[in-house]
Amino acid sequence: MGGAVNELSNLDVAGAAALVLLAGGVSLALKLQLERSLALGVVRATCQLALLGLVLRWVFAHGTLALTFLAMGGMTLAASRASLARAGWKLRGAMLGAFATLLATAGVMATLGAAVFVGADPWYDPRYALPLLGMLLGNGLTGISLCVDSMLAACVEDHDAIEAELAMGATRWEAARAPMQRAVRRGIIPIVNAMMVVGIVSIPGMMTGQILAGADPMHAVRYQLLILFLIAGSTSLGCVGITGFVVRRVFDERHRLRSERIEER
Amino acid sequence: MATLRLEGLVVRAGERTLCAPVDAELTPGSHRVLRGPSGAGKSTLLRAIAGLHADAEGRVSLGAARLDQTPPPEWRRRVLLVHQAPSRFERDVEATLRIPFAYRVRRELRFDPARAAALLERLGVPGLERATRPLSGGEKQRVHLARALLLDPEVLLLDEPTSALDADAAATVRAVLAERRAEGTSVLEITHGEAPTDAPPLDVAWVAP
Repeated sequence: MGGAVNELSNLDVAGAAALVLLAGGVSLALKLQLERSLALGVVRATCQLALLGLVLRWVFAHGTLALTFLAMGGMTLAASRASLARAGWKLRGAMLGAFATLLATAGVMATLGAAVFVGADPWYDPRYALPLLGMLLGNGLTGISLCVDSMLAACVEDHDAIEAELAMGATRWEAARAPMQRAVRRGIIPIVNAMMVVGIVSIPGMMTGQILAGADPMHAVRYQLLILFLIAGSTSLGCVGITGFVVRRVFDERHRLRSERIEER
Repeated sequence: MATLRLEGLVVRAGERTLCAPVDAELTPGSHRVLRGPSGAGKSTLLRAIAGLHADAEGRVSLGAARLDQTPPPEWRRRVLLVHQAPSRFERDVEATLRIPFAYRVRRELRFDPARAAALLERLGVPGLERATRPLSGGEKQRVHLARALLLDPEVLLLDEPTSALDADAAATVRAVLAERRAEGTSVLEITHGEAPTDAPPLDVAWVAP
C-alpha cells in the first residue's frame, strides 16, 4: 500500500449525510414527498453498515475457522432468501436449491479466491474471505433471481410449447433446452455488461474505495479484475446450476412437465 | 403396428375426477373420435395416453408395451400426441420440421427433405424454405401436423387437428390421414366438427364439473 490513508472521522460522515438532508429540504420545498424515503434510507444504511462494521471487527479479531464459516453460511442463507423474494412465481424447495447453488459457487470461489489468489494466511482469514463472498453473493443472487424468474415463467407461459416437444419424444433436458438457454443468458447479462463497460463508463466501487484509501491504482486494478473474474465465474456457474435444479423440480422422472408445482405469487 | 389398449383409465385434475374408467381398444388402422363438452377433460385424456398427464390411473398399453413400464420418450416415439395449438416454430419450415429429428430417441431416423416437401405439398402448404412467421393459423396447424406425420408414429392422438382449417383444407387433411390409416397407423381424435363416417366414437362417461 502506497501513500498515507486519510482516515474518515464520524464528523466527516455526518457532513456527507447533511448533503442528503439538503436533498430532503428540496423535496419538502417542491412537495416531492421523497423526504421520508431518503431519511429512512440514511438511517437504515447507517445502522446496517455500523452493525456490519462491528460484526466484522469482532469476527476478524477472533478469526477462527468455525466462526468464518458460520458467517459465510449466514450470508449465503440471507442471499438465497433475497434471490427468491422478488420472483413472480414460487416453487417449493427453490430456497434450498438457491442456497446449495450459492454455497457451491460463490462460497467455494470466495474461499478459493482468498486462499489461492490472494494468498490469505490462514487460508480462511475472514478479512479476505468475507468481503469476497459478499461481492460474489451480491452478484450471484441477482443472476439466480433472473434465472429462476425466466425459467418458471417459461414453464407456465410456454407450457404447451414445451409439452409439445415432450410429446414428440424429447427428454426433459431436450425439451427444456431453449428455456434454459434463455434463462442462463438473462442471468449473466448484468455481469457481462459490467465487464464490457468497466473502466470506460464506471470506476468500480471497490476500486474507488481502495484508491481513496491510498492504494496504487494498478494494485487496485489487479484486485478489481480478480473480483470481476470471480464474479463472472461464480455467477455463470450459479445460473447453470439453479436452472438445472429448476428443471429437475418442474419436470418429473417420467419426462412430464409439472407446472402445477409452480405457484403464482 | 400394435393395438392400443386402455383398461380402466381414469384421469383426474387435482381433486376432480374427470371421467368414469375408460376401456377401449384401438386396432391398427382404426380411427376413433373423442367427443364431450368443453372443459370435460378430452385433452387431458389424450395427454394421459401420451404419458404427459401425471394424475391418471389404469393401464395403457401398446401391444406388449405398457406405458408405465416404458421409458417415456420411447413410448411417445410410438404414440404421438399432436397438441391443438401449434408450437415451437423455428425461423423456416424445414428447421421446424427437423426439431424432433434431433432428439436422442430418434437418432436412427433421418430427415428426408424430398419426403417432407411432398407431404407439405399434399397438405397445401408447399415450401420447405418458407419463413414460419408470416404463416396463417391454418398453415401453421398443417405444418404442425406434417411434423408429426414425418415421425411415422403407430398411434396418432390428435387434438382438434382441423380446428383452424377451412372445409377444403380439412378435407385434404382427412384424405392424408386416411392414407396413413391404410398403412396401419391408428388415430384417436378430439373433434367438435365432422369426422369420417367410419370413425366410431370412443365412449367416455364424463363427470360433469
